[in-house]
Amino acid sequence: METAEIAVGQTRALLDDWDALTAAHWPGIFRFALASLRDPDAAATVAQDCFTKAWQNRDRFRGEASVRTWLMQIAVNLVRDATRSRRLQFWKRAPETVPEMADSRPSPETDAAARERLRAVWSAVRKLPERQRTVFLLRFVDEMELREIAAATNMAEGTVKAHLFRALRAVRQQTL
Amino acid sequence: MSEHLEIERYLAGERAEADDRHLSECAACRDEIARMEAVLADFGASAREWGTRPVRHAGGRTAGVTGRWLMFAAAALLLAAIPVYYSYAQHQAAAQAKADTALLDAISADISRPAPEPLEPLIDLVSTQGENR
Repeated sequence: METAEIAVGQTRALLDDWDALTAAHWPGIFRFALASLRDPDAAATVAQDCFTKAWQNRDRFRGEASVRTWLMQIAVNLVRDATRSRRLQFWKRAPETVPEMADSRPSPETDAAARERLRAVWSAVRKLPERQRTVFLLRFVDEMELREIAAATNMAEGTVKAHLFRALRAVRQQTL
Repeated sequence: MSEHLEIERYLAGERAEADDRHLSECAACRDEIARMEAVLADFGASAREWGTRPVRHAGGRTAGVTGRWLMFAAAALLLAAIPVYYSYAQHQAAAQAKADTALLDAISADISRPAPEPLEPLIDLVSTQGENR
């Protein structure tokens, strides 16, 4: 049996164990949706819809991309739809929601500086155009490789790099 | 030394051998790369940490669904309670009407008496004497 066929067979077996698949990939999908929408309820809805759509279309999954990339592709589309349909109320409702630092800093001064810097990054990310924001979040929150991001967003890898470059420029300017 | 590195290009993954050579010689670019990597690491960590927190109302979608089910359940209970309430209200109204009728009867009886209740034996006595004459 060819290696590709084995990989597809393994993927199909993974799809059959839906509970395990959901448990493994839910956090990443939810995290991306949350960082994009900044609304836990909306993010949970996107994650739920993502797995529902994936379940409904599982027979069409060919194993050409990883399951994670396939799920992320669905999530990217759902987040885009959610952002477009809720754009106005979203910006009104959560204009300055900024997550806390993940760890504590050695001193109050460095802690305050780090918080301020983090706030600046979230603020910059908020203002990014949709594609730049998606690419930035997939790269630095979900730590996806550029080729995975390209597959998840249906963009060429060069386009992903270009979006990432622009997003990084905006974020860097905000944190200087 | 060559021109400074384009930091964003480097961080976006567009790296050449010349970049590494430059970084080995240029402390300013090294520091800036390190600073930006720390900024991005903090950002990613904060987003990941945020994603592990329980969703508002204790459980996100589950909580939303639970909340919706609770609302449906409350509405169903309310609908089910309406006939019971009407039946109870009708029963109460009938009992009240009965009590009102009894009260009115008592008042009518009081009004139609020729004398107050304590004097009624005397009236009986008078009428008995009249009959005996």
